[in-house]
Parts: sequence; C-alpha cells; structure tokens
Amino acid sequence: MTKKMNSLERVHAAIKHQPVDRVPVSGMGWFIGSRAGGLGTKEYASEGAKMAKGQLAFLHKTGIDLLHPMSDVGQMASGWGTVMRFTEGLAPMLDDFPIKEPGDWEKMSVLDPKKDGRMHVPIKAIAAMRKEVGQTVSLMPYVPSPLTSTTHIRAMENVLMDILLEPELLKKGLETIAETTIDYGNQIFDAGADGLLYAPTRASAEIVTLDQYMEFGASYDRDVLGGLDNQDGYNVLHVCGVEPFFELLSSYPNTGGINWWDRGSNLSIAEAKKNWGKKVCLVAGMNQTTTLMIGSMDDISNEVKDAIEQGFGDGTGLIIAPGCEISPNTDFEKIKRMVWAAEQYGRRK
Amino acid sequence: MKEMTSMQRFEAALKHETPDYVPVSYFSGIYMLHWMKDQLTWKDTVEYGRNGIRMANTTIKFLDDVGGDTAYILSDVGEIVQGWGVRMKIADEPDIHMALGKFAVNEPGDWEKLDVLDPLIDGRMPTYLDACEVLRDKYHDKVPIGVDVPSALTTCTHVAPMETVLIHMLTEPDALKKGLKTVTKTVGDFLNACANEGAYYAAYLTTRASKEITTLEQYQEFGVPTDKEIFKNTPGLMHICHVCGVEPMFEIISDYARTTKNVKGISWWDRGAKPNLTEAKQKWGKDLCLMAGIDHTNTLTTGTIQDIEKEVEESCKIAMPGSGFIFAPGCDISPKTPKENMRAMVKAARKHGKYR
Amino acid sequence: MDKSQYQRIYDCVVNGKAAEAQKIGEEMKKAGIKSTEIGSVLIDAMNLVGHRYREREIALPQLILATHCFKKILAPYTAESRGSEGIVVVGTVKNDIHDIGKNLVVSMLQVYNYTVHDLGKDVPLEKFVSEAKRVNAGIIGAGTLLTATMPELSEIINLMKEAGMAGKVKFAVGGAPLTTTYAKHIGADGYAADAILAVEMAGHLIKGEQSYLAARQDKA
Repeated sequence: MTKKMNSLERVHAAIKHQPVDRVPVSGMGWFIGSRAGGLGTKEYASEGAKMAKGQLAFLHKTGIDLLHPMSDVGQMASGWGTVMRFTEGLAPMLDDFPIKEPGDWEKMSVLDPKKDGRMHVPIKAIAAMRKEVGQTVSLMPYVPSPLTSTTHIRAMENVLMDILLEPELLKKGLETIAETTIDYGNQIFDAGADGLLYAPTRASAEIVTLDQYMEFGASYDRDVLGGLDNQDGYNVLHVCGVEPFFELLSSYPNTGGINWWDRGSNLSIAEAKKNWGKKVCLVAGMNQTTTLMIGSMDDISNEVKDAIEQGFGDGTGLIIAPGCEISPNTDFEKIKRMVWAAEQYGRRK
Repeated sequence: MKEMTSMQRFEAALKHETPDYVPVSYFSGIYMLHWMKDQLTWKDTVEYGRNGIRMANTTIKFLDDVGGDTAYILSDVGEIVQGWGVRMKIADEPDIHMALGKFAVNEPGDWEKLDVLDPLIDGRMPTYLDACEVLRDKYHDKVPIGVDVPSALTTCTHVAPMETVLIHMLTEPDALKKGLKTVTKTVGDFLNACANEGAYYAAYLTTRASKEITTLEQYQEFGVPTDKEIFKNTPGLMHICHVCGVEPMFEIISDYARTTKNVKGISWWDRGAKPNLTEAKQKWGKDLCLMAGIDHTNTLTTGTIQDIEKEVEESCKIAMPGSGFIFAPGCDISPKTPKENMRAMVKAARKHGKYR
Repeated sequence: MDKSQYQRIYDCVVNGKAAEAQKIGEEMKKAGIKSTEIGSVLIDAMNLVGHRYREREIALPQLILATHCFKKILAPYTAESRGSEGIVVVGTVKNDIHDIGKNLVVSMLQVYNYTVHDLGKDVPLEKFVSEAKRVNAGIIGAGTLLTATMPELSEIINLMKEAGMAGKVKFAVGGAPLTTTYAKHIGADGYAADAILAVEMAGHLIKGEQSYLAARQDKA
C-alpha cells in the first residue's frame, strides 16, 4: 500500500504519473470562497487577505486537495479598463469593455501585476495561504490565456469578428496580453503557487476552428507557458468548451494536466485516458451543472466512482474535478462527498 | 592504418595530421529529437532546451543510430541571453528551435546595465553543463564533445535586435562596447565552464564575420578584439569558428588560427557561400582545418542517396589531401532532412574519406 | 429576383462579405425585390452556414459574420422581423451579459420567419413575463452562460405560473452550462444546444410539444 501523502504530494504525483495513495480531488472552488469565508463580494475580490481567508475556509469545510484562489475574470482585465459589476452573492461580472474599436488593440500597454487591475489580490492571497498551509496543499490560481483575456476586454462577438476582419490589430493586443500574462504567472509562482490553472477556454471547436486557434490562441499559449521562469510542469490547462482541442493542448510545453467538462463535452475520461493518458494528467469527472447542483449524495459518489473506473486504471494520472467553476451556492457537503468517494473508490491497490 | 577513435581522428584533422578517415560532424540539436519521436510536441521542444540530461541522451542515441564522430550540444540561441531577460518565442511547428522573442536591450543606455552572468545558474547555461557532464561520463576521451556557443558580437545580436546592434556600431559605438565587455566575460566564463565539464571544442559562432553583414573594418573593431580575448581566456578548448553567412571573412579567421594556439578551423556553407571548398583549400587550407562538404539546404534535405554520395565524394577529393578536413554540413540540419539521408552521408563519408 | 441577384446575396452571407452586405440590401430594395424573396435566399445561405458550423468546418467567427451580413442585408427592409411562424421573446437573464448565443438564436429565428422580441442581456426576470404578455408570445426563451445564474431560469418558470402562463406559453432555455437533464429538472419545455437546433426546437414548441435537443454528442 502506498504511504499516506499530503494533498500537495498527491496532486504532484498524479500530475507526474507517479503512484498516489488515493486519487486527488479539486473542488474548482473559485468565487465560492467568499461564501465559505462569510465575506462580501467586493472584499473577497479586492483584498488578498480576505481571499485567502475564504479559500482556506473552503479547504477546511471540504478537505479538497487543490485550491484555486480566484474571484472573477476582471482581475487582470480591469487593469486595462474593464468595468466590473459587484453584486452580493455573485462573482463580479463583466459590465463594460475598454476595447471598443479594433484600433484600440494597439493602444494597450503591458500591465504591472503588482499594481494594475486586481492581480495583486490572488498574488497576496497565495502568499498568505502558503504561509498558513506550508507545503501541504496545491495552490493553482486561475490565469486566463491571452485569447481568453481578449474576451474580457472586448465583447466576445467582436473579438471573433476581429479574428476575421482585423487579425493584425488583434495580434498586437494579444502580444501585449501575453507579455502581461508571463509577468503575472511569474509573480504568482514567486508568491508560492505550485502551478497555474491556465485557461485557454476558447480552444474548443464550437467557438473557433483549429486553424483559428492555432493562429490566435496556441501561438501565444506556447509563449506564455514556455516563457515562465517556473518550468516544473505542474500547470493544469482549463478548457470548458464542449469540443476541446485536446490533441493540441496535450502537446503544450510546461503542462502537466488538462481540466475539461468531460460530462458535458464530446470527450469522455475513458477516451481521453486511451489517447492522451500518458501525456497529461486528466482533471475531470464531476458535472458541476447537474450532479453537483441537483444530484443526491449517491449521485455524487457514483459519478466519482465512474470517473475512477474510466481514468484510474493505472493508479495515477487522474484528479477528480468538476469541468468548470462550481456555483457559489454549491453545498459544501457535496464537495466533501467527492473527497469521501475518492477515499472509498480511489485508493491505490 | 589502425582504426582510430573519433577523438583521435578529430584531433588529427585539427592538427593537419593524417587520420584513418575524415571525421564526420554535424549541427543537429532538436532535430535529433524530431527524428527519434514519431510526433514532437511543444512540450518536447521546450523541455529539450531546458534539460541537459535529455539533450545528452538524445545526442547519444542519435550518434549510435546515425553515426559520426562528434557529440555536439546545441539547443537554441537563448541559452546565454535568457540570463539577461531575453524572452524566447516558441515556433508554430514543434520541430523548430525556439527563437528570440523579446529583447533585453533596446536603447543604447541598456548595454551598460547588463551584468556578467554566472554559467552555473543564469539563463539555460546550466543545461549545457549538465549535457557535457553526461556525455563525458559516456564517452570519456573517445568522442570529442562540442558545444555551440555564440561569439560576443553574435551574442549581442541575441540580446538586442540585429538591426539595433548594427546601427549602434555606427551611432553608439561606446555604448555597444560597454555591452561587449560584459558579454565577452560571460561567454568566456561559459566556455570555460563547458571545458571543465568535458567539452573538447566549441563551434564558436562568429556568424557576423561575413561581408554581407559587416565590413572587415567593422568586424575588426567590434568582433576581433572580443574574439581574441575569449580565445586567450579559454586555453582548455579548441575553437572551430562557424560562419554561416555568404561571404565569410576567412582572412580574419585564418589570422586567428595563425596567432592563437586554440583556434583550429572554420565551418561554413561551402556550397552556398564564397569561397567554395576548392578556393578555401587552396588559399587557407594550410592555416585552417576546413569543416564543410555538403549542402544542408538542398542535397541533404531533398537529394537522393546518389546525390549525397556524389557530393561527399567530390568534397573528399578536394579537401582530403594534406588532412585538415572535417566533413560536415554547412549549418544546422533541417527537420525536413530524412534520417536515411543523414545515414547515407555518414556512410559515404566513411567510404570516400578513407586515408590510404 | 434573377440568378445573379440570388448569387450575390447568397455569396455575401456564406462568405461573410460584411462590407458589401448593407449595399446589397439597399440595391435589392431599390430594385423592388420583396423581403420574403430576400428571406428565402437568406434561409438557403444560412442553411449552408449552419451545416458547415454543425460539421465544424467553420466556427463562431464565421457564423457570427454570416448573421451580421444577413442582418445588414435585411436592415433596409425592416427593423424587426414580422414573421408568421410564431412570436418569441428572447433574452439573457439578469446578471449575465453574455449574448452571442442569444444573438445567434434571434437571427436564426428571424431567418426562419419568427417574430422575435429581443430583450437583450442582463434582463430582469419579470420583464420576460411582462413582454411575453404584451406581445402575446408563444415562446419565452431565456439563456445563461454562468452556473451562478442558472437558478434564475427556475424563477422565470415560477413567475410564468403566477402570471397564469403555464401551459399556454412555452418556456425554452439555452446556454453552454445547460443540459437536457437540467432543463427537464426545472420544468422547462424546451432546450437547444445551439442556434441551429433552436429553430427546430421552436418548431416543436409552437405546435404545443416539448423539445429537448442536445448537441451532436449527447450531454444529457
């Protein structure tokens, strides 16, 4: 029997396809930290110490192995002028975009993560969390890919049109964003994160074609992931579309795992394991929109068990996770149940 | 003649003594990995450039498979300059080396802000040292270990855009020279660190010593002093100067060979540049060991086995007499080169490169 | 309409020639071509575009561009479609500003001759009901892209019940995080995974049937 590991050891072992004591679990709890910590939307999203408090409260309430300190998609985008709406009980929402015309792309400047936008919030949160938990829990904050970021600073419909009508201007914006993202990633690692939840969310065939993604997404993703100072390879890609470009994403540098919505997309864990299971750790298994919202405790256990049967046959290379951020109203007991089920069914024989 | 080890063969060629066969070398790098895997991913590309043990093991496997006489370490042009904050750009195809993305020097005032780097910790120089160590443990003194290291002036064109460096030669010479001083020390320290870990020679990349890039006077002002200082400060390494432009400054490189103990040869694209192999042998063959012989851009990539054999035979006939010849392509091997062509090249070089 | 006019409209939409679209619409109107004839060509063109999208030969950028061209061609004729297939009220729920999917649904329904009242994004829940009452809609369509705002969809159903609409007006939902399971669970009458399927679903709902149309791969 494999000796008992702490959460960080377990997650790293799974990502590197080493033996684990049991299958690790991520709750994909981003904004739910505010509710876990009894915090208001604005304070959770604006103060690193508060975000840390909320995330640690989520950890204590659920016992999961990975934390993703994050409040909303405006953390970086607000540095370029994106206006967010703060409503209690909900994650801050995109309200107004600074890029109105294609010509605005080339007016963007590279941001300083220490002072622009709210990037300092997760950076400070990570430092505080790492101080508290030491090297026992995996901390992987959400970092949007450059193409994903463009849709946080300009309406997505317009970005998609820019792909066709103003590609050169869009690329200028993408270069600036990529540079900012590398700096942000480096500071996140300096603060104590062990990986990024790097989100190329537009890498899905119902959004763009593969050729479009290669030109406007993949090129910048590679530069970001390959350009980070930390090349330990624990980063997990997050792609929540229904037809993710798995083959492409599994070839990315400095990438240890891929998180996707297996229960809602065209790719099951079994198929992903068969085709890419040796290349990347699969981070999936729970349906955040049905099972975790309206399912029973047995539904949750059964779904975890099924995911393990599909993807844990070799005793590693799987982290149980929802396909995207869980609703901030998700019952903490349901997340705890995921961990319980992982203990029951996901122990290495 | 008793069969020599690759090291003996290589040394003999450098000294213009007669080896058993013409030694064979090539600039391979990530293309070796490309040939070994059915499908290369960007993960492979980036990891290769950051993992010296992987580089070394790939080199060993390739050498076993394809043959040749040198174990050559090459990743991309970023291994030193990333230490100064240069960012690399990953190519659209995974089987292409990383390229320079964002530069560290853009204004003249930036040159003097550069610090001397430590090869043990800065940039990706440590990966080369790891690779040297693994190769040394494998080959001891049987196979010469070579490292791909740019000259001080070439390194400057990796820290700043080439255009900027060329303009600074004219408009900000003093600022550029401040940078050159720091870069020269760094390159010298790196070469010595490689020698300490087992490297026998450097393909010292004097790539700007070509008349379509700089004039002789410009290279004499900005290139020669720093090259000479590096040669003087790296007595433990042999240097073969690699110039891949179309008008390499043979006169400068041969002067290096005459005036130093450790500059031994020149590598250039004999099939695409001036002089060709015949001219080079006639004019400089006594001073310089010539490292050339096959066109990596055409013959090696798209030629037939017969084309390759013909070119090899021709080159050997021209350059073998009097020794001082290492058979090699003119520059980096293209990922489009079929492995069979590489094998054919080595086989033909053995067949036609035997000294009687 | 002659063959070359047909080809111009068709080609503009299929190939996303946005710069020419409005001009084409103006020329057609000046030439006396009726809106129903234009609509017929647009349906042919969108059928091809829709097919290509479903087959993943193209993706959202081209689909959006095609609907832009379609709208610009129709713009000289009317600000709002007055189709006779049925009346639909559509919007994205309160606190959600994502609207690409909703805009595509609106465009596709208009192409296929529905009268569509587009409430936009971030719509207060009561407005779905009040507008449906005002225009005598046969279908309310509500969408969301966020798991956080999915519960708002159930709330619309409650408001419809309070307003006495249950059974009389059909309620359809859509959006990336939704599934047929969720739609049935909350009591929605219809769900469609994309804008192309939304048209088919609307056809069933207008006839008084329920309709749940998942994506090409079943994610129920």
